[in-house]
Amino acid sequence: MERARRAAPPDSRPFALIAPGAGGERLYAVCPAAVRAGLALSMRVADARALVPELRVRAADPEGDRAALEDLARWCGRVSPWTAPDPGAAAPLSGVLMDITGCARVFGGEDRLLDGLLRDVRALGFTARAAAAPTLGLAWALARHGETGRRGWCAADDAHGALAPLPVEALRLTPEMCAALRRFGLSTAGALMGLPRRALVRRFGPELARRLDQALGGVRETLSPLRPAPALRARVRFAEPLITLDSVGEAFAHALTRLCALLEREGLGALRVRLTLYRADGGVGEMRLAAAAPVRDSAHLIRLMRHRLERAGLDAGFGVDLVEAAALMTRPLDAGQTSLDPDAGAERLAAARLMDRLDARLGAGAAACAEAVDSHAPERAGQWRSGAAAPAVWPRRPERRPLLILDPPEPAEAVAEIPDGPPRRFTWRRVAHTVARAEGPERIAPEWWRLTPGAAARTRDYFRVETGEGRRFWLYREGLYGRETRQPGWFVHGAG
Amino acid sequence: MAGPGGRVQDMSRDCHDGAPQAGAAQMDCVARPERLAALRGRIAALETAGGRSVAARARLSPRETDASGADDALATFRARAGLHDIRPDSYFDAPAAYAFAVRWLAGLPDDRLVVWVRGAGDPRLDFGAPCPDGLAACGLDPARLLLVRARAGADALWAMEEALNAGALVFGEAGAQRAYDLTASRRLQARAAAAGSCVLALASHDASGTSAGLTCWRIAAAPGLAAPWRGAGGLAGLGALRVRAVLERQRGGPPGRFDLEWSDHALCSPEPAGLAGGARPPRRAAG
Repeated sequence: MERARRAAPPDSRPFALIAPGAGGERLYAVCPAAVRAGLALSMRVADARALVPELRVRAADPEGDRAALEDLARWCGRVSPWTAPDPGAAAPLSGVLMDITGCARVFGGEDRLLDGLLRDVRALGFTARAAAAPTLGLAWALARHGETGRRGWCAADDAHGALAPLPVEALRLTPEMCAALRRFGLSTAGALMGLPRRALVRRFGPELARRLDQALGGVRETLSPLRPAPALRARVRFAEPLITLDSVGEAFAHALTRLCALLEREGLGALRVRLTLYRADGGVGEMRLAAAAPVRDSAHLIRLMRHRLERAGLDAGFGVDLVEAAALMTRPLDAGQTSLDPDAGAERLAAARLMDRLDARLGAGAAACAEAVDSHAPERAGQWRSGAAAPAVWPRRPERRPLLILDPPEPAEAVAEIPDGPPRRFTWRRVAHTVARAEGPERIAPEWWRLTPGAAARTRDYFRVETGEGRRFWLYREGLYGRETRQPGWFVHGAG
Repeated sequence: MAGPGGRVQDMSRDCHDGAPQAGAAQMDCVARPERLAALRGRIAALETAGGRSVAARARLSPRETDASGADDALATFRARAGLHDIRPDSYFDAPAAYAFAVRWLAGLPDDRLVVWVRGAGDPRLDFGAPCPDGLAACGLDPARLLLVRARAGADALWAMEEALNAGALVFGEAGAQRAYDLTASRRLQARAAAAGSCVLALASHDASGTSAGLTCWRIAAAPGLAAPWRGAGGLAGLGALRVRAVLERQRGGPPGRFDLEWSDHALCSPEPAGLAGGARPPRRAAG
């Protein structure tokens, strides 16, 4: 609702969002002026226009609302790592759930936390109410139906006492069930609490009892957070928003230094680090750093961050007032003892660090190590795998392979003396080559267990040849003559 | 690290003697080689401040390698920390240039990390990706190698510099790119000299422009000797890989020409290059 009003020019006339409903368009959300004029939710637009002829309407955008709510939940990550959007059945019921266990101390108490949160959310242009309670259900109920008073929020410690005066709608029930309860004269949660549980379940089903227990804390309810909570995180908050990306880089460096101190205390090294910036206008930007080997060297992480920052496309916008560095993936990394042989291990580590820097600057997957695969297919036997550590020992194989391998093999026109002999002449890349020396064939059958059904499985006969000029190529003839094909094709698969 | 293919045989050599003319008359006949070496050392010291390269350059005389009987003709060049430029003689000589560079790195005595920086898909150097087993056959352990794919020329140069800073040996296909100019080569040379490392820059056969490298090589494939066994289809088998390396330019020394042969088989003794049939003169004359 408020998203739409912010987009429209300011106007004092009543305003409503409409969405298709039963029997035509119905009001989806209404502004306070419209409520004063007598409009209500889910009223037909024709009826509403009859009551308030000057009503302005716009089509509702539920998808956009949901995305905006998710953004808001992410933005609330500045208060607690455990946040989740809670899209309600109707627009005014949507909210953000947060687990602030242990967070209040950081902000100087629950009161200050809620005050600050509401102030910030209102500064974004939203009308907001908040509540803090021992259970998610009770907080939900209080935020929507509780007496918030002048400050706009309420907090409760005693679940039974706080829930009793609230209406049954506060229990997150379907409108039909609320209507049924009200028909029986059960209009408050307190009235339900007084009734025997068995009778309630028999009459209204288990859902009612579950919701009641959730609000009272009898049943455990956890929220599934929008983003997985990192094991370790460090954040830096600024009184004045940072405007330039350079200063954001400095802030990230600061946060990374703190994160490394935390990692050292825990005896861990980070493999993945997420850097998040929270903008003053409610936007959130994030980038990730990856390391090939566990790292808690802040200088290395800061270097990676600076390489990434140039290309991550982050935007400081109207200013950044909070940055966070979180270790998403950690491994034990014990404090190293100086080895008698200083080079042992240090070289592998240097290679891993170099890989990190190359990946950070050139894009993930830029640096690759050789990986040995137990296969006879030449293109599979030795592969380049990014992000993996180099093998300690390369297996010694008897097959002779060229220095360079073409992927995919390129067709060549070749002339052979006998059907399964080596080529005598071949034309590749528009140049004719005359073969002076040749060795082979090395027959490699396709790996039938890896073939996709229907694909042609042809045996390859590989020849190492040297041209009259001394150039070496690696050719193969695809298909056994007569048995697999009538016209075997020639391909150049390697050189050198 | 020597592996099966670590030996380099230098067979014919027609380097010009690099004795400076000035001051030769005043030299005493007995002390002449020592004084020459001392003078060369002083000149090299004036040129660069890198102590390591100076020592290597002082030994840079073909006669001395002859006398010492070293079987590696490139040892003196390889020992010099810095930038070495490599160019194939023609388009189809690029694989030979790759083989030359890989064997150059494989022959270095230290087993440091080797970083192979691939270019941004230059069609003139597009002969495929390195094959780990092929590298192992050249004597370079694939476990030592880090392959870097750069999308832009500037990225490739950055990756080469970064690898040099990390103390790695670098082989870059950056030489084919426009970003690789005199300034870039100077930077690489300075970084390599500071790190005591070696960087090989492979350029395409038609690349032009100056470079600040220590040496500049032009590599052509040369017909090798037939193997003493019969190959396929009545043809002879493939013998040792043979390459004609023309040293077009070197800092503080004369140009030269080398016929190189790497014997891949431990029990096969290399033969003189004079026996090679159909020796082809390189397209561009040395010097």
